[in-house]
Amino acid sequence: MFQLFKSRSKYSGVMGMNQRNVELIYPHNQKKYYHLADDKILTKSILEEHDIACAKTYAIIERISEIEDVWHQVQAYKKIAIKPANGRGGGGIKILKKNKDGIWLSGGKPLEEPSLFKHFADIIMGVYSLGGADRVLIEYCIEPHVFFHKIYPAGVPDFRVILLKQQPLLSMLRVPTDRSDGKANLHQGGLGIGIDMEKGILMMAYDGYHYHEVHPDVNSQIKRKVIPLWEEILTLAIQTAKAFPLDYLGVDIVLDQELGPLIMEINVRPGLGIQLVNQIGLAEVINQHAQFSKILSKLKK
Amino acid sequence: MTTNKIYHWTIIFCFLIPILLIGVKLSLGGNYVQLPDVEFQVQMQYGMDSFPAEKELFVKAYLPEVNQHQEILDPTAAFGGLSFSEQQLEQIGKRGEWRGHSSHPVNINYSFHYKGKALKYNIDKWLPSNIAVPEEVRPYLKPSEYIQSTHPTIIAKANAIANTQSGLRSKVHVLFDYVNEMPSIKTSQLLDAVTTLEQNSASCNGKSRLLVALLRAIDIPARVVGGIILEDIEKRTSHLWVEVWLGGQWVNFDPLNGHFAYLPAHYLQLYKGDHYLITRTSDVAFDYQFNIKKIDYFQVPETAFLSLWPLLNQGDLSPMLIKAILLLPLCALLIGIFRNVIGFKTIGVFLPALIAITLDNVGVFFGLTAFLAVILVVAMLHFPLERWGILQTPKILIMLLGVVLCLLGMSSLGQMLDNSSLQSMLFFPIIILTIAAEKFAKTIAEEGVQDAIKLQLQTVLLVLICYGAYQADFTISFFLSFPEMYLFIIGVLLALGRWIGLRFTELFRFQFLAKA
Repeated sequence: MFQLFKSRSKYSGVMGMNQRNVELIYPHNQKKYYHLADDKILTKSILEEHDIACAKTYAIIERISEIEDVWHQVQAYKKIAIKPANGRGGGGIKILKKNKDGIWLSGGKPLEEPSLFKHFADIIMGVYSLGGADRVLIEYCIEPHVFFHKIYPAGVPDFRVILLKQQPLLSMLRVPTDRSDGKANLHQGGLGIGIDMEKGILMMAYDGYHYHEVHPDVNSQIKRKVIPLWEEILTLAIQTAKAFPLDYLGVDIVLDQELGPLIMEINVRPGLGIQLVNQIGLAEVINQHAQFSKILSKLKK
Repeated sequence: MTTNKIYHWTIIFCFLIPILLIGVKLSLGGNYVQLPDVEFQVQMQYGMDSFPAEKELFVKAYLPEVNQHQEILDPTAAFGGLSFSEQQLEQIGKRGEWRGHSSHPVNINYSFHYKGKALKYNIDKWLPSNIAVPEEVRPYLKPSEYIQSTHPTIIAKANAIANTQSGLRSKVHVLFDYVNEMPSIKTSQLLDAVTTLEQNSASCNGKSRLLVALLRAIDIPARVVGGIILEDIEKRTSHLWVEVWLGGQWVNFDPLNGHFAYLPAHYLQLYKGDHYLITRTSDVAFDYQFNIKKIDYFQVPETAFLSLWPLLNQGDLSPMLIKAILLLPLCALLIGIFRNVIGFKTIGVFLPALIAITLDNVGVFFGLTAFLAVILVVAMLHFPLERWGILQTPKILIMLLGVVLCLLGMSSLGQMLDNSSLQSMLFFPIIILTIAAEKFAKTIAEEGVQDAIKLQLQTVLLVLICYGAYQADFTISFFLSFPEMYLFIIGVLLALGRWIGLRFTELFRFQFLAKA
């Protein structure tokens, strides 16, 4: 028993579920505001109000009767992303692109309208959103920045920045792997890459078991790579945190080839795996920040 | 006061009140913790096929008698259209006899309520081996058909083992040890003493006859005793053990289960001597079974102060229900600790406790297998329903029906096979099983089969832990006497509610972050 307590002290600074819930989520995020983060359409309307860059909304379908009309409206675009507003774990997302003859393709195959309309109807009936009715979100389709092509050629990598009271604490870049099937989430087999937030460079990549300096599938260099537009990314994260009445947030940001950093979604219960990715405990980071601001206020006096 | 202060004082209050109350109660002495007495409802059931009407049928079977070890309450015999009589057989026991004519199958039984008391004998170490044996005990020195105590090999063996010892107690002890340590085999075959000695392995009847033969061979009176080991079960096996005449009394020994000068409370005594429990008309199809139900029984303390004991006096509350509700908070405490301190992830918060209660009624092995089977079968419904795009409410209702059908199916099958464990499947909490099946299916879909199995394993483990807590017999009387402990549990859970330490599982998850 004594040994156990002794070994626990080695973990000082590491944040567990209990501490995260008691000290970060409960005191900083009120339940009544959770829906602002859980509903993508609501999140985007707040972002747009504050002029914070996010993927442009092309259309929203709320009723099955609107499907055909809305589908005609979006014919003007060449590329679109279709998402359930309250989807979980990436279910129900479809990317559609027009080829040079103007025919819609989904996953490289020509699209059939009836099956697309059924997909819309499924989203509205709540197939991807735990019961209750949902809405279809049709939006700008991200083109990942060339920076990512050199790391891993497929999927859409994204940044996760964790902020407490509008202060960025930790961040990471999530990159798909062969194992993760295009997804970048850590528990779905994605690769988490630590970030030196001051210098804006990538650190070690963590695959859930080991740390790497290169991408384990394609051997591309990761460590010490300079992140393009890092300052803009951080500024965007801070702006986002200021726009929401939620003081402990995980902000997910993508980097678009044309538009630069865009907010993808925000999360009120960001996972703790980011500590492993950055090889530092979250409580330790919070502690450092507190000490730093103490010194700062002394200097001001 | 600040919120924090109120919180801390609430916890202190939750800890202090129970401690004070328990102190007061202990000093008054009316509230105490006790183990439940062993009580059983027993039915000895015999069935016979139809028989030509001109011939007479009979069944004779030994019936239990009241003695210092056992109390027999409300004995009733079902005659099944035959005549019934009881006979007292000197030195053996009471025997019931059903006799008559019947052209249709006959079902007869004898049922009673059993209260047993364990008997522990103290045998004087210095008991001389040459005590005079009274007239009525002498017959138990003579050989019988299956207890060949005058057979040369038996005599040789008995002497070889016992001659190393001098006192009567030591002689009995070495012979007992010798038979007890002999390998046991499961067989219903009748074994005599010599055969048992030669093949060096036996079940209860062979071992008991051998021990009796060895004892008689060195002039210690002994006899076999027939009865049934009572457990919460339906069974057909009866049991044979040994009584030895020591220091003026008959002392019980069980060389199969290693009870030396000890008779456990749940050993039902039926007859003395090497006889058959049942004798009957030979040329007719015959079957028998002992249906035994265990009943926990407490002596309600008369002067208990601020207790829940009066609950037990309300006849219309089922003891099962009382036990379930009394022990649920204990399971809640275990669940809280295992989830937030150890870091178990389980299907549902309450599920482990509720399934554990069910296992208590259904039986652990059978219940757990059925639980996993139902979850698996109903979880598989999720996939076609999901593919067809069925909405959540109808989907979960269909799964509910799946659970109901599974349980009804198993229960009906149990009825057909006459298997009471299968029949009692309806005890399972249907809603909880439905939610568990859906959660299991969702985990497979969202996190993969491996994670779903891990979740299921942790759930089963916590079910077993709750079941273990459920089996500790003294806990019931503990909460009946000291219900203020529930306040204590609330205090622990309140403290746990703001405990921010790492869970044990997180020590592994974050091992890369541990400082050297």
